[in-house]
Amino acid sequence: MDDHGSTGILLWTREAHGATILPGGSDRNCQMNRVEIFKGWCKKCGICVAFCPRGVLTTGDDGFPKVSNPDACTGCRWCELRCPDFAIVVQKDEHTDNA
Amino acid sequence: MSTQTTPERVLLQGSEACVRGALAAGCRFYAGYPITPATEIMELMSRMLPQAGGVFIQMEDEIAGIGATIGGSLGGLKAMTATSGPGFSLMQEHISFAAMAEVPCVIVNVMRGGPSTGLPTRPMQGDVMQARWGAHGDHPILVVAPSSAYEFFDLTVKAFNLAERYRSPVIVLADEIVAHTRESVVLPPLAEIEIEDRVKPTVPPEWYSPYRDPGTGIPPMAAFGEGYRFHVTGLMHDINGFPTQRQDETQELMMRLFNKISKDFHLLQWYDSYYDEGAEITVIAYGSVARSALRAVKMARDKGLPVGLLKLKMLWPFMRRTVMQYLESSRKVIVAEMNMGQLSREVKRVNQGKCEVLTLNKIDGQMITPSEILAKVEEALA
Amino acid sequence: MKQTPQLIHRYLRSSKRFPHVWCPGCGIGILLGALVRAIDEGGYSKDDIMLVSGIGCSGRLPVYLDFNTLHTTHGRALTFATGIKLAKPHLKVIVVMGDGDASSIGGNHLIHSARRNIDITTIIVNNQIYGMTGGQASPTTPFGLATASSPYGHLEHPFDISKLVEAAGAVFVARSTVYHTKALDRVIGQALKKKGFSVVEVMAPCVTHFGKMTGMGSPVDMMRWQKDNAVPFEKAREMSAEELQNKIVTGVLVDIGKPTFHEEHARIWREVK
Repeated sequence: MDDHGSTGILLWTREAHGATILPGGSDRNCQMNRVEIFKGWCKKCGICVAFCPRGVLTTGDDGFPKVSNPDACTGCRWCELRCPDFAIVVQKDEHTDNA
Repeated sequence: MSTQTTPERVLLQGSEACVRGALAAGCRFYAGYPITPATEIMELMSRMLPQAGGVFIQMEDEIAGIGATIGGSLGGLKAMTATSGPGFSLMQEHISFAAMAEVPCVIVNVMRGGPSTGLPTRPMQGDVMQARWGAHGDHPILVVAPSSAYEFFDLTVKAFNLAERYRSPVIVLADEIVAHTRESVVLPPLAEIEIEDRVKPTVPPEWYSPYRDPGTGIPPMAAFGEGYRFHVTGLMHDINGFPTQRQDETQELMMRLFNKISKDFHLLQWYDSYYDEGAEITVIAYGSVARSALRAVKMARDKGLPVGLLKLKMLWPFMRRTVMQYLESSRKVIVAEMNMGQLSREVKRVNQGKCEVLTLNKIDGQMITPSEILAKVEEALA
Repeated sequence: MKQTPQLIHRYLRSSKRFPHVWCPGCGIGILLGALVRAIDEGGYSKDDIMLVSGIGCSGRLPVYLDFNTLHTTHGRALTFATGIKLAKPHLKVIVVMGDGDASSIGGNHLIHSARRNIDITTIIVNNQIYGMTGGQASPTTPFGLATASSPYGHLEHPFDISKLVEAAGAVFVARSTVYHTKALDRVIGQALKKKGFSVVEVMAPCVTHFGKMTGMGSPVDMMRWQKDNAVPFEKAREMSAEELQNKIVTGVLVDIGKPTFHEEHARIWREVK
């Protein structure tokens, strides 16, 4: 489990914007939208997995959500909006948006 | 509002004097609920505060009254509310909040008679201990007690000064006689009235810790909405105002709350003494009883009896060192009060056998008369 | 709409411990996000937001946010907020309360704030139970439900908080669920813009207690229940009382105009000065 301490916000930001997270182990270059999960804040409630309209997310063996089907992500951001813990974010692919 | 530059002689009811004192002290916020015998204070505030550019609001109950008062103070205004026993009981939780969050505010309690609804238009002094211990949790409190319309003016001004200086709730404990008696009062020129304002932070907002001890025990207080974003809570908190359960931080906060006032005990000895030269017997009284006591002592002196009066104007913190002097210099003291012995317990506590402590108690809703006190004095001398 | 990391960076207090205090799947966390997004969308300065809470799970919300924040006593948040609003009228005052906080111990303050039309936005997180103290019946707990304090079934009938504040004179009343997050963002934004006493009743799952008492199950099941049982206000008008049983009527229920307390008070200032 990640650090729960008061540096949480900094950790989030570093990981979310840095290259340390590879969602679901997939090849980032292939996906249009990037779904990132910050396990340090995630409480495994399962809401993001259950209500993703396109089945992008599944629950991993460790109980955390996992990006299993990245190509299906439409960037609707429902997972992000409904997350009670600010632990998931959809980085929209600018290129796709413009296309 | 009066803006006189010379002393002004006016006929004032105690409640009016209180309102004038509050306005002179800079009070610009009042929130309260009607209750006998304190309603006059609210009514007069509703008329005078808007004229002074202040805010008056009648709330839905006394809990709301003091809640809004604390809110007004957190918003940067000098704020007060007034009530009587039943409302004072309702306010206790928020007095505790104001002590914990260190929000300056003034609460006037015009004591009525008896427990519960009791005697709404009659005097007693039954809330002395409640004013000290009524709110939950261990915390200091400041309580002043006027005995005349002038003192109601003067002590209300000073109550605001104390509240602002110590960031503490301050209670003005008046009784029905003091609040309703109309008498001639000489009000000082406004410019001569000493006014204290809360210390505001001078550091930039990003450096501000709302509960950091600057060395005086009293942290500078920013108002909400002036660029200092901070957190205020009734939970035990650290120097940044955030909740904490850490033993060291809890201990530090609690000790600071007590020490900020106890370090100044020597400045908080507010009393008047009369005829104390050679007094074998000292009458100790406060509130309207002190008026009867003064008359009684004069009558006794006319008879050649060695009697003096110690009138307490500050009840809490209890003026141990002042009272001690009189306990040491007198053979007997008589504590006269309109209850079954509340302040007399404190006198006995500090007495420790120095002299004999007698009590004169009355709880029938009538004032203690000078002749009753004189009779007690004569009995004590016999 | 800004990305979550940007919002976190801008609005959450970096000195606070995260993850926050609430249970997994708690609706208050979702509300926290909605509130931040609505404030951001509204373009308010952080210095001008005054966030006040009472006691209970919802009472812990303000401390996480980098605004002017005040955590008051149980049920009395509106009284403190009233004082602050009158002392500092430029502040956008937002009060967050739970259902017990707002409609039980603070019920009197709620209706009188609505009657007075004080310019405050009140968000009531309704999870139909006392969460912080361990699952006792609240004024919005359904009739018959066995709770920690009604082991033989709740004998009382629940308040409809939105109807209560409507009757008391609130100028804006909306109800939403945390499942309908975009709608929630929207109505909070509308409530913030509204002058006068505005109320947003947010149906939020308490997984730990309400979920346990009702046997609703997981956070996901509770969210699904919200999804299946929410009825838009417009549609609800055409439904019978029977059909509306156990439904959540959502949307903007009241939106009227009325002078605020502060406007009236300012008029008195002008007249008597």
